[in-house]
Order: sequence, then structure tokens, then C-alpha cells
Amino acid sequence: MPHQNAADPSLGGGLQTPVFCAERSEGAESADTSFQTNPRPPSASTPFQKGAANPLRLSGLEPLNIGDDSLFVNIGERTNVTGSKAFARLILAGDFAAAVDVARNQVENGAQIIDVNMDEAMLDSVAAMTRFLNIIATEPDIARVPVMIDSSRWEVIEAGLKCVQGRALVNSLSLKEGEEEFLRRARIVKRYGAATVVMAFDEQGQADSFERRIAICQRAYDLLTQKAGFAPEDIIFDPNVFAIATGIDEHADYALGFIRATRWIREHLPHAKVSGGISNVSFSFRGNDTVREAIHTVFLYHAIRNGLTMGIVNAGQLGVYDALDPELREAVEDVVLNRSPTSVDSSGNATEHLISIAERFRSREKQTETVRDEWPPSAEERIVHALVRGNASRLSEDLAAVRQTIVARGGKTLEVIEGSLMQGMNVVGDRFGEGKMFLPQVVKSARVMKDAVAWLVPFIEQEKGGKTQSKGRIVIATVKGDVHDIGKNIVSVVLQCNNFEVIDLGVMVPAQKIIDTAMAVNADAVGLSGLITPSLEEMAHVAAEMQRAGLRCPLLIGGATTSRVHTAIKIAPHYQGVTVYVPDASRCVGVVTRLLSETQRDAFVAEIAADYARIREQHAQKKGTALIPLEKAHANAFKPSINHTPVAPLKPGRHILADIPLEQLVAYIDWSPFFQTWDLPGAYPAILDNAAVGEQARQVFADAQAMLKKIVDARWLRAAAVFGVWPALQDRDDILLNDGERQLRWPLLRQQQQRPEGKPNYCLSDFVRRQNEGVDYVGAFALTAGLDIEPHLERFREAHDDYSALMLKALADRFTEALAEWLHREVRIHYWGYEKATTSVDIAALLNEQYQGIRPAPGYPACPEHSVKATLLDWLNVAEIGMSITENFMMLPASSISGFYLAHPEARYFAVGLIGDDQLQHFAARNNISEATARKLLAQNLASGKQGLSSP
Amino acid sequence: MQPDRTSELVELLRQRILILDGAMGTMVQQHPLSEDDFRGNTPHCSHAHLPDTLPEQKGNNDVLVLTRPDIIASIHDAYLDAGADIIETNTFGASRIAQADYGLQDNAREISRAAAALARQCADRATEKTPDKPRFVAGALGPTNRTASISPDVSDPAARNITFDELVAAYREAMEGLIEGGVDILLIETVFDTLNAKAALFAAEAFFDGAGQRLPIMVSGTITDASGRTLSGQTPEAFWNSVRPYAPLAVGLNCALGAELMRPHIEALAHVADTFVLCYPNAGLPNPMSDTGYDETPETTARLVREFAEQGWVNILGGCCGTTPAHIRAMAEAVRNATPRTKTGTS
Repeated sequence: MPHQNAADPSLGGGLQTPVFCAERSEGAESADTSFQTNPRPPSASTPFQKGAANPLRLSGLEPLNIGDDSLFVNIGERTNVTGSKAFARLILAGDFAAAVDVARNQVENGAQIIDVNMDEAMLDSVAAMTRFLNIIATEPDIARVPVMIDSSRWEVIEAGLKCVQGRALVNSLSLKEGEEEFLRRARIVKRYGAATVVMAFDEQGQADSFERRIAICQRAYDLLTQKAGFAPEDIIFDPNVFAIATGIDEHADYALGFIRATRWIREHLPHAKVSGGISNVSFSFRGNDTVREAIHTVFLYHAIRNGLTMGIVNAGQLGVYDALDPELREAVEDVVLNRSPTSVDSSGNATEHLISIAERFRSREKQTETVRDEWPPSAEERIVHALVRGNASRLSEDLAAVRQTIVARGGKTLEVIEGSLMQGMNVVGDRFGEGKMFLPQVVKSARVMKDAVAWLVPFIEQEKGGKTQSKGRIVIATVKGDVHDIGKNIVSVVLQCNNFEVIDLGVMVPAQKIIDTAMAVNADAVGLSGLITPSLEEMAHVAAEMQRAGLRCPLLIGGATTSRVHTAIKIAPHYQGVTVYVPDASRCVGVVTRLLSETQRDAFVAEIAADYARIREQHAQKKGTALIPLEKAHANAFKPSINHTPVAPLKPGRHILADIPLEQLVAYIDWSPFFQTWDLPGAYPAILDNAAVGEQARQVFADAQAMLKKIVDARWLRAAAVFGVWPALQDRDDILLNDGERQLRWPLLRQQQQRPEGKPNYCLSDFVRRQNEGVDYVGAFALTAGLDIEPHLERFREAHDDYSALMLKALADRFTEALAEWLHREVRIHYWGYEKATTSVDIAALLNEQYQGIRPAPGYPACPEHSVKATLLDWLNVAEIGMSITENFMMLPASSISGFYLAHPEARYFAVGLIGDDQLQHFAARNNISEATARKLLAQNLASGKQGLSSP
Repeated sequence: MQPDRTSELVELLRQRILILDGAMGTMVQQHPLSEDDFRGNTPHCSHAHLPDTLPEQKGNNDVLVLTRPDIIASIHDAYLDAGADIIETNTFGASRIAQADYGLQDNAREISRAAAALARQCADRATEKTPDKPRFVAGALGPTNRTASISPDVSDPAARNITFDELVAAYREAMEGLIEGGVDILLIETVFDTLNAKAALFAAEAFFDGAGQRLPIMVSGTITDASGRTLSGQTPEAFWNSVRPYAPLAVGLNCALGAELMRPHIEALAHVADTFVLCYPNAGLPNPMSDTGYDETPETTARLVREFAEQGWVNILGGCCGTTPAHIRAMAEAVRNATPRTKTGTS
């Protein structure tokens, strides 16, 4: 019963007048009538408008619906600088944290709405209203109720309306400044989606008589419903609560006048509600809370029976009518209802009588009864409770107690964090996972955690004899191509609350920037976030780049589309450091704490590794069953989406370049892999400035440059290539090259796993035309920059100079890779001729494969079968440039590359993956080899070779 | 500005369940698009070439209405062909706020206008082909990537990285573009922070008052976690109470969780909302191991949403992340003869 009156269940119960029953339409349930009657102006209508009244629908994080017969609604009055000196003091002093506790206390004591007023001359009211509402928006146990934005200044009301996601009430509008201004403001209130209180106030002033009250309310009601498009249930009248028992005769009828006006409004202005500032009525008894409370109780009792919908009250101090002292109750009732007292010892004047007995009741001041959390008995449990409830009110004493116990048995303060606090955060994580907590509550818990850590830090520093450092430094980023950062920001806040230093790189962060930053700040962990599906691929890329750069710190993966399975299978294998999936913000602290804890780290990493290995195994087994028959894979082959006409080679046939000048290859060298040879983590050129390994990197790079110069000048190495472009066609899944005399069959495999809708089952031969589709071409090449290397290696070996030998081999590899890149470009432009020549060369773009066409090499995932290298090298007659191949298909010199060129604009790399026995048989037949031989050649890709797998 | 087709929509919504289209992002991802495609440096783009000074555009799906309109149009066509009565403009992230990440904030209005015009053409072509099945264009207004109710600053819970006024201005500009381009409906979608949605609704009301003419509005929230709350913490009914004052033609839920887990929340909303209810879930929970990121089959999604229809909870059905024309076709088929929701909301 969230909306039950916490103070007095006997209050209210609705207004049982026949007038209202007659207003309610009958039989509105039938579908035929549900679209018809529309008593409201068109702009407020909905397709399902019923004849019956809608409730006044308000909301904070939770709904509050107030119907014509709802129970009385308490509006908390203490967050009002004009009504509460204590609250005003806090706000003026800028102590918003304590001011927020006032609001929390109201809600805990049963306030169903809180009234917020910042009208104080010494205050920037717009700023104070904005700040206060923004803060309580982050306090879920306060924000669950709607807000009443209370100000006599329009700009303060408007500022408040800009801060609330729920449906708020405005307090108040009035006709004080005339109809035009009233309607203008009403329309704006409506535009903010709020409902409003209307004070009985017009151009002549505030109404104090019954007649003036109802006349103004009637006028305002008509204006709002007829001219401003207001729904009648969204109008709440405040017919003015004034002080009674002031000693002035004209004031004696004020309370009764209010009650009568309330009844009149409920009877004559359909669905309108009535509210009032209740504490005003007892103003003349300030200082005597017992009497004031009795006046409020009696006044509410009668006002509610006459239709008062809601009232601004001190929610913790409402009495129960039947429980009042009978003598006091009667005296108060005489005053409120403006009756002549019947009591024998009265003078006949109700006010004087009440004053005369008031002093006797003053002493009976009673404690404010507060409805508090049920706190568990032990301090440890209370800390857990404080975190779960996001309530720091008694945190410091409990922390002190727990710390005392730990220190007494010789422990360290740090154990408080690793014990009770971590336990609390784990409970928060569990509850969030189970749907028992929602995000703003998790963030609130994290803030309590922050307070706790802040309280403990001085002790920890003392024990350590110095300043504590942050628990660790974490670089986090939303990956390239993704702009979503809300989840990442929350993780960042939660981590910072737990004393981690967070370097947040923002959104769309390229891999290189993440890696450079992680190295520059010597990060203890890297966190990647992303929401959209392509980010998953980017995360795998970042992991691979981190590996390449030599980073080994923990990598955290999070974001809506990520998962444990994906992390285990698609990301973790790229990176040698531990890679952990973090399901949500509530879990990040636990995960990072364990990863960075000296005592817990190893066990946790081992646990993750075992878990992910199991996932990968299960996945591999499941994956095997998803093979489709080869026929179906053929039917789903790639079909070009663009009309591509193959270009005939400018210079057809075979070409040899026996001695390629090394100088022109130098610019094509990709240096990053070079440093990996030396186990130096980092990408070139950033690595040269790296704090940790920069000096070593600079040294080895300087040595490399020196040797490079010798290699080039003294011709230590010779680079050669044999290549050509020939007519070719697709034959079943293979590609046939033909030079007019001989034919080369390039045996290929087709992806045979079930592909998602719209994705083809690729085979490299798909990028080449079939026999009847017209002529097409394919290139082939073999190259090396490792010729003539042996005498030099021999020389270094004899001199026991292993370093120079290794350096020379590493440079030969770099030259060979550079040659492959250079030659591919030469072929595209000068030999095949489908690419235009350019004067300048964008090396970075080349290294990123930003050109048309691919150069797949046998043995790689798109064409894993590598025995073809023997036939290819034979066809190219590589002996002529000094290359050869062993029985095990290893090319000599060691720095050699061979492969094919495909020119189709949509040609791409992919992984063949597992294939079925049907493809194996097909492959054997095409290549005219036995099934057993084929099985040996394709062992890597055979599903039937893997345990627990089945072919389709 | 298109004429107000509210009464035509209401008439149709009383007759049958209307079908909204499915995911745009998922379909765009099926095309291997390069940075050049996004920048307009391909023959598919006749006029818009983005300046080289702009940061990387890959992933900025909204700009494709300028640089690869052929792809966006083909996706609209595929959904119309699958049976969608209403298609959404490709403008989920087209606001000034979201486009600022790509340096295209000053083109926000242009993108929205072009997206609306493109969807308009596709919808009108489809209506011409099947005049008995009129098609509508809903101008999508996404949540932006900022939250007006959540603090980004660890030490200051009052801090915000966007203000209500900034949101109103950005939404105003986006909806002006959409309306100029010819949308029939404004769809404020994937609402994770209701204050953002209220800024959009505020902007719409201000625009309509100035124009002296209205368009129907639909609002769709997102329940993001197991507790059944929006990211900013509201329950479905609290969310409804916040947006109801704007008298939307329809209110509903989309995106996160998928149909199965969305069920109790759409039920809760259908129970209280006295307007039409829409629902366009993801194709199940995200499965990053799948190429589209989601792997619920069209049959499964269609079966789940048909149950919503049978329960009398919905008037408009469609798909969000991971859904394809096949999902929409299966849904349309599954609810062809279903009775639309007529029950009124209750308190």
C-alpha cells in the first residue's frame, strides 16, 4: 500500500456525496462507447477517453494516482525555506546534503508528494530550485514521489519544471495578474506536462470569504478548462488556509470558510481537487506544538470529510483525531468550526478558551515519530544495509565500530573495505541482477561506498605512514565507431566512488589512442564499452592491437550487446592479458578489486581462464553441429552486388624482377612488428617515447637503422619476385589459371557453417567468373627479400654476434613484407593496370588494405590448404630467382611469401572455418586425389575430425 | 507540413493491428560500408560529399540519408514490401546533440529533412501500388546520447551534461526537419530518461501551437533492466503518467530485453494507458555471437508478439534491434486477423 496515509488511516475515505455519483457515467466498459464521449477539449483527448473521470495522474519514479474518491494525500512541507527555518538555514549555508535528508525524512514519514519552495530574498532561487531538484532526482527513495514546485515567482517554477522527469504539480497559479497572464502561464504549465494548484486570488486580492473563494475558483476553472485546454482532474484549488484564533473577530470564520469552499468546489467543479497549506491555520499557537498539532488534526478531519483531496503538512506530525485528549479536541473543534464553547469553565469565546487551556498541554511535547529503516543488530550487517539502502546516515559510527574490532585483533583498516563494504556491493550487484534494485539505486549505493572509503582513508594512510594512492588506474573508453557512453559514464562514476582513478577517453576512441594512453599512464586495467553490434568487432580489434603493442594489463569488456560468451570466444583469444566480461556497473568494482588485489588476483584470473576455456569448448562443440550441406552452401554462395567487368592485364604473362632496389622498399616497412621481435611492447612510432621501454626501443631502432643502411648500401640482401596475371575461371569451387599451355588448379574451400540471413557462404572462387560468364583474370606471385643472407648470418655466427644475426633476420622479414606491399601496388598499377597511378603513396592506407583487390596466401584462413604452394612455385618457376620449397611446404629462403591476386572490388578476406565430409569428398574428386589424402591435407578444417562434432 | 491524419489512423487502428517496420541499424550493418560510403565519396552519392576536415563518419548511420540514400531507400522498400503500414525515418541519432560527435551538428536539420523526404517517397510509392493499404511515415526522434536526469560527475549529483533547454532546442530543430520532409507522425522513441522525452514533447507542443496545426505523436519507452524500470528509474506507469498529459496517439515500449522479457511491462502499460499501445521489441536478447547481434528467428518473435495481440494489449507492432524484413513479414502474417486492443486503461 504505497499511498496509504502513514499518519492516520482513519483520515479521508472519500467524499460520499450523491452529486459525484451522478457525475460518473455508467457502462463505459463496452468497446462501442469507449471512443465516443469526449468531455475534454480536443488537445487533451485520447482515443480511449471514457465518460468516467480520470484520476489526477502524477509521478516520480513511481506513479501517484489521485481519483475523486482517493484517500487524503500528504504533501511534505518541510522542504520549504519559507516554512522551515531549519531547512532555510541549510539551503542558505549551501549544505544541500543535509537539506536532502530533510526531504528523505518527509518521504520516510509518509509524504506522498514533497513541496519544494526556495522563495528567500537572500537566495538565488532559480539556482537553488534547480540544484535541489537535480540532487533529489538522484536519490531514488526521495525521487519515487512526485514534486510540488512551489514558488510565488514564475521563473522559479519554470526552472523547477525543467528538472523533473515525473509528472509534477505547480504551486501555484492565480488570477492575481489578470486573466491573460493566468492563461499564458497555464498553457506553459500544460506544455511542461504538469498539473497545477490554483490559489483563490484575483486582481482584487486573496479571497478570504466563502463567496469570494468560490467565485474565483469557478472563474479559474472555466478559464482553464475552456481556454487553456486543461483536464479538470489536473486542477487543484487552494481556497486559502488562514490563521485562526488570532483574537481578531473577522478571522474566526477562516477555517470554516475554507471547509465550506472545499465542499462547494468538490460539488460544483467536477473532478477538480482541493489542497491547502495546513500549518497556516494554527500559526497563532506557534511554540506550542501539541496544540498546533491538535488544530491541524481537527481541521484536517473536517476538511477531509468535506472533500479536501490533499494538504501540505508536516508528514511526521499528524495526529489521530480519535486519539486526541477529549478536552483539547473539543476546545480546538470550537475554534476550527467557529462554535461557541459549551464547556462550563469557558468564557463563551472559543479562542480565549483554547488559549486558557493551551499552556496545560504545552508540556506534553512529544518526540517526532520517525519511520526508520529496520537496522540489523551488528555493525558489519549495518554497513551492508547502508550500502544496499544507499543510506549513509549512521555509516561513520558503524565503520568506526567495525574498524575497532579489526584493529583490536591486529588487523588493518583496509579489511573494512575488503570485507563488509565489498560484501555490501556484492549484495547490490546480486539485487540489481535479480531486478530488485534499479540503476539510480545502484549509483546511490556507490556514492555511499565513496563516503565510506573517504572516512576510512585517513586511517589507512596512518597505518601505511603516508598518503594512500588510488586503488588503481583504469583507462576506459567507448570504442571507435560508437558514440554511446551512458553506461560507460556510470561505470566511471562507480569506480571513482571506490577510489579508483579513472581516465575516461570518451567516445569513438581509436585503438591506438587507448593503447597510447594505457602505456603513458601505466594503466592497471583497460575498460572497453560499446552498445552497437559493430563495436563487438572493434573490441576484438583493440584486444589484438593491445596484444601487438605488448600490453598485458587486465582488459574489461562491457556494454549492452557484449556477453561473457562473446568475450570468451571472440575477444579473449586475441589478448594474452586477462580479459573479463563485466555484466553491469554494479559488478565493476568487485571485478576490478579482485583483479588488482595482490592476494586475490591469481585465483580470480585462474577462475576466469577456466571459465572462458569451458565456454570456448562448449561453443566449439555447438558450432560443429551448425554445418549445412555443401549444396546449400553452394546455393548461398556470394553473388556480386556490383556489375564488375574484369580488366585485362596491361602486361600479361609472367614477369621477373631479379634484383629489386632495396632503397625503394624502405618506405613500405611496417615497423610495429619489428619491436615485437624484441619483446618490446608498443606500436611505432609511439613506442620510442614510451616511459617504460622507450630507451630500449630507441636503442634497438637506432641499431636497426644503422644495419639497414649497410644492407642497402652494401647489398647484403637481394630482393626478387616472379609474378604475373593470367586468364582464369572458376571451376566448381576451385580457380583455374591458364597460360595458354599449362593449367594451374588452385583448390579452395567454401564456408559451410550456417550463416545469418543475408550473409553468403564465401569461397574465394566466388570473386572470379565462371566459364560461361566471360573472361576473367587472376594473378599469382612469389617473392623474397632474403636472398644472399646466408654468408652474413654465417659471419655473425662465427663472431658469436647473435644480436646482429637476429637483427638481420628481423630486417629481412620486414623487407619481404614491404616487398609484398610494394609489388602488389606495382602490379595493380603497371602490370594489371586496374588502379590509377598516383604520384604520392599513402603508406598508412596501404598497410590498412585500403585498395581494390586482395592477395590471399595459401595457409591463411581464407585458403587454409597450403600444399598448393608447391604447384604454384613450380608454375612460377621460382628456381629462376633462387627460391625453392621443401616437402613440408616451407619456402626458402625463410623470408619468402607466395600467393594470388584477386581484383574483384568486393573481394574480401574471411575464415573458411569448419567443413563437412561432403565438401571433403567433393574436394578430393575435383583434385583427383584420394579421400584419405584430402583428409590429411584438410585436417585443420574438418568437422568430423573434431571430437563431439557431427557432419550434416 | 503533411495534413493531420490522426482520424485516418484512429479509424485504421480500430480495425486492425498496424505494423511498424523493423530495425534500420541492423539492416545497414548488412552492407559492407566503408568510410567513403559514409562520406559520400562513392558513385552512389550524387550530391553530398562531406568535407575531409570532418572526423571519421563510419557508424554515423543517420548521415547515410545524404550519402547513401539508395541503401536507406532499399531498406524502407523492403519493410514496406514485408507489410509495414508505418515506416520510421532513419533519424534515430540525427539530432544536433548526437551529430555533434561526428562534427555534423549544424547539418542536423538537413539530415532529418532528407530522411523524411526519402521515407515519404518510399511510403507514397507503396501506397500507390496498394491504395487500399495506406502507408505512413513516422519521424523518429531518438533519446540523444545525453541524460537530463543522471549526473555524470562523481562528486556532484546535481551536475548534468545536458539541460532541458538544450534538449528542447535540439528536438525542435530535428522535428522541423522531419516535418518539412513530410512525416505523418512524430515518434519519440527508446526513451530511457523521461525528462529527455518531455523536452521533445515540450518542443512539439510549442511547434504545433506556432504552426496552428498538429501531427499525431507516439511515445515509446525502454525498460533496460530486470527491475522493470527505465534507465532513469521510472516504472512503466510512472512513465505513462509523465507523458499522458501530451495525449499521444500511442504509447509503448521498444528495444531492450526483447519480446519475451518485455511481456510484463507491456502488460502493465496496456493496463493503465488510455490510448493506443505500440510495441516493437528487439529480436530477443543480444547475442554478440550472431552476425546481426541478435538471433531470435522471425517465427519466434512473431509468435511472442502474437501472444500480446491475443491478450488484447497492443495496437501497433513492429521490431527494433536485430529484426529484419523477415521478422516484420512474419509478424504481419501472425496478427493479420487479430483483434486490436480496445480496453481502456484503468488506474
